[in-house]
Amino acid sequence: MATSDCPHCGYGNPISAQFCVQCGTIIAGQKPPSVSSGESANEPDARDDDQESAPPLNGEEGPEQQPSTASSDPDFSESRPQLAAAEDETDEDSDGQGAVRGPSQAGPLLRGIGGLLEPADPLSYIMSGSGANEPTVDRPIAPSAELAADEEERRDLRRLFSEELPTAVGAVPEIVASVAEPSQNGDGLQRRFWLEVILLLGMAGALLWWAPGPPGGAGPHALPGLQQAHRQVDTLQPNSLVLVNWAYDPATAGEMDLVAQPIVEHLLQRQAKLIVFSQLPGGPATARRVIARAEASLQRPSRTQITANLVIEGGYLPGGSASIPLLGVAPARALPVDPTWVDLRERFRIAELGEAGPALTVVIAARAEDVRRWLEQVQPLNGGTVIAATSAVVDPSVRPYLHSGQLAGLVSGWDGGGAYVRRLERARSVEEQARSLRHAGGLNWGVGILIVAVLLGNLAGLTERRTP
Amino acid sequence: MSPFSNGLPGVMQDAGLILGLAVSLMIGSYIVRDSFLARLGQYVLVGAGLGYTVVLVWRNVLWPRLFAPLIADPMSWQSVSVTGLLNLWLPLLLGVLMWGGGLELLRRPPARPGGRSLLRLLAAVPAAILGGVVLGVAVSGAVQGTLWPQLSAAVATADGPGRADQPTWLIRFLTLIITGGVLIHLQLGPNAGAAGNGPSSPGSTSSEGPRAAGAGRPKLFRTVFLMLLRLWEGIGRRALWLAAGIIFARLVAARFSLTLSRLDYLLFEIPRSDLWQLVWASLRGGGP
Amino acid sequence: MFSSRSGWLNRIVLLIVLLTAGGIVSARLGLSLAPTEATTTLYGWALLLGGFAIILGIANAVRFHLVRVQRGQREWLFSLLLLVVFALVVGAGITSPEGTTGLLSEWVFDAVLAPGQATLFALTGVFLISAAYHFLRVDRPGGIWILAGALLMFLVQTPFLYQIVPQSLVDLVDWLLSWPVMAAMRGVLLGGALAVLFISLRLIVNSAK
Repeated sequence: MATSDCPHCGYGNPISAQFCVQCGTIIAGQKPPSVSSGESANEPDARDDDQESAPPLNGEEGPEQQPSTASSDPDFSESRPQLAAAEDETDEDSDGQGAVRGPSQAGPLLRGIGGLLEPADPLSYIMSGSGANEPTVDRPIAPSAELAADEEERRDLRRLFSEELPTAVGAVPEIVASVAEPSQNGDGLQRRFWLEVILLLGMAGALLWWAPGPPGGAGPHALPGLQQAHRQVDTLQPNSLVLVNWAYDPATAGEMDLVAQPIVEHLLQRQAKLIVFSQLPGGPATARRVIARAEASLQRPSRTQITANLVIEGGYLPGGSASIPLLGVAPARALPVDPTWVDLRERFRIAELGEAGPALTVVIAARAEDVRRWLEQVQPLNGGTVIAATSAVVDPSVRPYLHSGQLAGLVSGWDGGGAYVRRLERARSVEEQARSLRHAGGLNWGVGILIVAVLLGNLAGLTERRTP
Repeated sequence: MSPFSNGLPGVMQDAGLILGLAVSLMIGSYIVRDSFLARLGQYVLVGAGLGYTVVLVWRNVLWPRLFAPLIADPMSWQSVSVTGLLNLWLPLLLGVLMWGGGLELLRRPPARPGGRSLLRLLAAVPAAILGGVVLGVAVSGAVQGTLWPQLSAAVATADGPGRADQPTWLIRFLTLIITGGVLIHLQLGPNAGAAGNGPSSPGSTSSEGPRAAGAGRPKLFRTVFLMLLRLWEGIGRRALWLAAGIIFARLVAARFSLTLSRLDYLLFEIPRSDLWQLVWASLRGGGP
Repeated sequence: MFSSRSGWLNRIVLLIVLLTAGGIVSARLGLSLAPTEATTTLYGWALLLGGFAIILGIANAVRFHLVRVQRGQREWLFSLLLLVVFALVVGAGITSPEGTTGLLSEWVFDAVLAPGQATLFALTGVFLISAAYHFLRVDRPGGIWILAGALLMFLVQTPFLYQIVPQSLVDLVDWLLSWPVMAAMRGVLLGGALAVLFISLRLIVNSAK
């Protein structure tokens, strides 16, 4: 069987493999250096009976990779254009005339207005980061020196992944050597486990012993947009209909609960009627738990404000961006119709949504995609006011929507949630305060260790540059 | 354990606590290495997740929205209204086609044309409808929700929510320059403004570009234009780098919060549970 | 007759895609080529077909593991465990009149799904330190700008640093977030939206050819 050695780990892969089965390096387009004796590249696979559904295992070819199957199946060439293109590139490279464009050589998405009329293959963008497989586009022919330089750059990158921590900053060479694995196996990041263990121990220690004292100042910094979000909720009339898009699940609840709970508390404090739905399977259950905690928090200082069950469960909506516009044009159709969940009174409230729209929409999202989806698919249809409560990392990505007025407010991250809590007119329990302080302490130590790691990394870089 | 499963017997509560702790530790052991335990935890998680999703989709979507109304009036197809046809019967037909055709596609192709082949072909119809809806909402959403509002905001003459003590025209100009620079960078890459990379055929490195750009244009003008283009792209690129740094810092805040939350669960929530207290008291030799 | 999809069927599929997409675009952009009710119906279909598609995807995954167990392939014991857990969870949910809000489903959520998913994602926080060690370096392209942005943000969002930095620096970060960074991200959003438009058009032109 023909094999192609991985340039990264040296593993012999099947010739038609796109990725190294050992380390995952992209090997499509590599020249096959070795052909095992006694086997042909076109050798038919004897496991025809098993090709129906057996997934390709490590070291064996899947059914779609067999040349004989590919040539006999008319659908094959249509369904595997990328593979065919990659094989074409392999042939070109073997002649020394083709050029495989790596990510660093990614070209523009379109080359002029004329590009509109060129056939598009979105898979090529996914696979290579450029339109490298387009036959009609005039591709730049990279000189071999440039190709070699690119390959050299990739090797450098791999070496960085596999490198040891700097010896110049005090590490003992013997210890480093003892934990080192062969440098060509490519899992350098995993070998950094002790750096990760230091981070974990630092955070755990901070949680246990080094929580800071109660902050005397203004608490966490409120990034721009929080004040507007608070004002939007604060000016709600009692019984206003608020649509809540719960776009996170337990995976990100560790952070998002800290942002979502204060806003839900505030909405309940204003006696808004919440209609909560989610497009994630774990979303509705997560929402139930956070809302229950928010209600429990509120009942201590302001029990009289909670008049009745203010929450309607809208449940789970599959379909992604294709179905969510339904909430803009016909919310009563999108939200549940099962009478065992939603009583008659609540169904009337949902029907009101279709006539007047929600007084406010709150998108609680761990990904920027979910905020953008709402602003693209629903807001243009119902024109409603939207505020977003997001993960910290989402903040910069959705800020243009805040500036353009599509978002009326933005709260993000642990710091946003903490700043929002301080605006709520209620006393925090001892446990809440202790947990918040623990979190602050852990974050302090985590970021401190990370900054030290960054400094070490830069020192290592400088040392490497000086060492010939 | 949340109050939502409080109705179960106490032993189940304890079992849930232990199971949660075990799954957490098994999956968390991945940090040391991809071991048997880590795999075990992942498979249990995936199995439970798939099962939960099946129940959710059936009980929350397909049953109440489609099957319950149809079963409530199974003979409705005899006198079905247009609304009922469109909202119930046609989606049912499309869904059955999707299921039948999809499951058929997972099997080996039939040797001879027949019913199975037809089923395979008909499975393309619901997929095409779904694809068409996705395409339609993607295009119209991009125009209505991002392109038009963001372009309007970028060139808006009205004052934005800027600080009052700063000249707003300057900020607006800077904003416009950066946005344009980023777009140039995304289209042309870091070689914008380089010789042979004229605006008429930005990605091309063939000789057509310089010839077309320089044919009827004074060389000085072209040089200045390319220099300005390069400068503009450079501004956009640097703004993107700055944004990348800020996004990384926010990513650290987000992901560290997740890690801290898990550590808090292991170090504080578990030890506070009744079961742990009981075990701890037994270990110390005292009663509960 | 039905052996190839390259002929008439492809054209019918393309026609369905184009009609559906065209109807939605025209209705959304106010061109009145399609009635609003038609697009509402299409959204409703997408919701239900999304449900069907999820079940189909899960059926595929279950079948994959069944085959693995049947053939005794690598990690078949894990696959068997997955199938057992899957069957138990489905059984618990389907037999309960409340579905996923039933006691057993809630118990599964609390005992397996929530801790498992949370731990899996918590690992990403730990791995970030390796990424920071390797990539936040001044000698990389744009490294100074990236480092500057990251450090400025750390100063404002990290509790112990926020308490010691001057207010002017906090204002600077707010300004950066509100204007230059916002402008850069707007460029990215516009670029992404333009890409969606152009790729959609090219897909249609490509298919029509």
